[in-house]
Amino acid sequence: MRRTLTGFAFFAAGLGIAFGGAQLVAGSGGDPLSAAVVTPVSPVVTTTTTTTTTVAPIGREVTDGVSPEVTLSPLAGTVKPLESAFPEVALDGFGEPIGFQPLRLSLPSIDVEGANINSVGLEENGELEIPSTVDVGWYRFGAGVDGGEGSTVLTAHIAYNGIDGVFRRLNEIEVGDSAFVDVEGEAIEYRVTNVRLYDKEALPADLFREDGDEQIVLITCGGQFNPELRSYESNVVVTAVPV
Amino acid sequence: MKLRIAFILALVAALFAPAAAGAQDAARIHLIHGIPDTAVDVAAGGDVVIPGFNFGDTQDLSGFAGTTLPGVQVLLEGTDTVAIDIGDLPIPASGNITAIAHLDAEGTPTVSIFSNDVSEIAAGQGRITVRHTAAAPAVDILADGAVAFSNVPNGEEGGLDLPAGTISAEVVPTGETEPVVIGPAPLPIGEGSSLIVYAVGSLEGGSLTVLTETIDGLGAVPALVNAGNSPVSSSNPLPFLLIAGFVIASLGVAGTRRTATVRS
Repeated sequence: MRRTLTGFAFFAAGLGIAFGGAQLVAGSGGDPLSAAVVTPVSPVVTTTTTTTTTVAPIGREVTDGVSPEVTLSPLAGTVKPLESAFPEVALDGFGEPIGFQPLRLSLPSIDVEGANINSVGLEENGELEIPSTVDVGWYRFGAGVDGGEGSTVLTAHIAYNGIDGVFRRLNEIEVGDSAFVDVEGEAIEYRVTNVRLYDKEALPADLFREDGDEQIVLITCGGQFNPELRSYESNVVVTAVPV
Repeated sequence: MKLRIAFILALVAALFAPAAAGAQDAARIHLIHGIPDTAVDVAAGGDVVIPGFNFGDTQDLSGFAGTTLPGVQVLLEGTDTVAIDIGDLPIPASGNITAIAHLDAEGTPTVSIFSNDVSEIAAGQGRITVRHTAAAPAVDILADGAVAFSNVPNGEEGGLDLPAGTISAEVVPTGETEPVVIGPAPLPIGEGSSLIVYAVGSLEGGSLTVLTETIDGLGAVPALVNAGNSPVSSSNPLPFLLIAGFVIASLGVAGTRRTATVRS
């Protein structure tokens, strides 16, 4: 899945430049970058000035004592300089988990008080793992809590095998209600901003994002219950942001 | 001079080459400068677009996707000396592409254009890709002491998905244990993220080092959230503690079954 330009014939042809059979060959061995003494003539160089034939070390030295006025093109705004590719810069924070593991959840308006939170992943069939009816599950492959970014996903049963789950009344929560998540003894307060019912098959992947604005997402089942399939048709999704 | 021109050619070739069309919604086109001690300016329409493009610098050209840059010229850095006059330059419209100007095995400036693997990564895993873009012979790439990729020549790559964590990576000439080209160095394998490592510089010239690039947000998301298989027990909601008490009381009876069903 890669493409290498093994020569410049393609390139030159594409540009309509007469390449003249020039060979792009390094100096006679050794570090090519120090091979500054090379034949100055290249058929590619436009010959309108003589400065192009100056033999000089490759690099910034060539500009010593020269400070031409640089006029930036309006197009320069479209080029986005990124972080340096040197690893100490590019790897800053890479691979480290976002935020902290949430420990307990309280939703005072629906009488959830300090429910225990377990770390959960995915089932073999790709579905979200749901803990027992007394626990809440934190999707450990998403964001943690209080990390400054990302979506922290917390899930719990509405009811399982006839036993009500922690999120039995999640659909009763209202915008503006408070939620509290404990992290190592500290309680972080959130304010509910959205309560929605999604068709199960249409749950937005964005709910599981690991970047962007910090939020918590509470998910359970809801909507119509199908007794034959022993399954709900929808998911209740509550979104809350830090206060 | 020849070398500098060769590099500049390589650089513009990177811009010019058509992208492998991908299924991406939007193009992501990055340009990395992977040749030590060589600096240029890139201009379009008579004015500088990329000033002072140096070793290790990365530029995002995605904003130009699907457009044509007018009158592109490459200048010797900090001068108005036109090294090459390119003319109008079309930029690919789609794909996730990284072009890197680097040295080939013999030390001649060249360019490789890689199409980045942005396929979904299984939950709990991350992706590592090592690209040989250094003036060095074919190499073996070792992960935690074992050969992960054997006999990788300049311009080629090796990549795999691993459980998130940290691995020790080392690059050595094929079949040898030394001289060590890179490492051993700890590399983070980020959950749902891709780390791309470029070996750059010259073995003979003693300028070997690595550049890196990361792509996030490739992790799998749950296919479905099934968080209930029965109707709620009562229209009058029980206080949570009562429910919890009931569940705890019935653990002895239902514990085994519950464990099994939770995993189903």
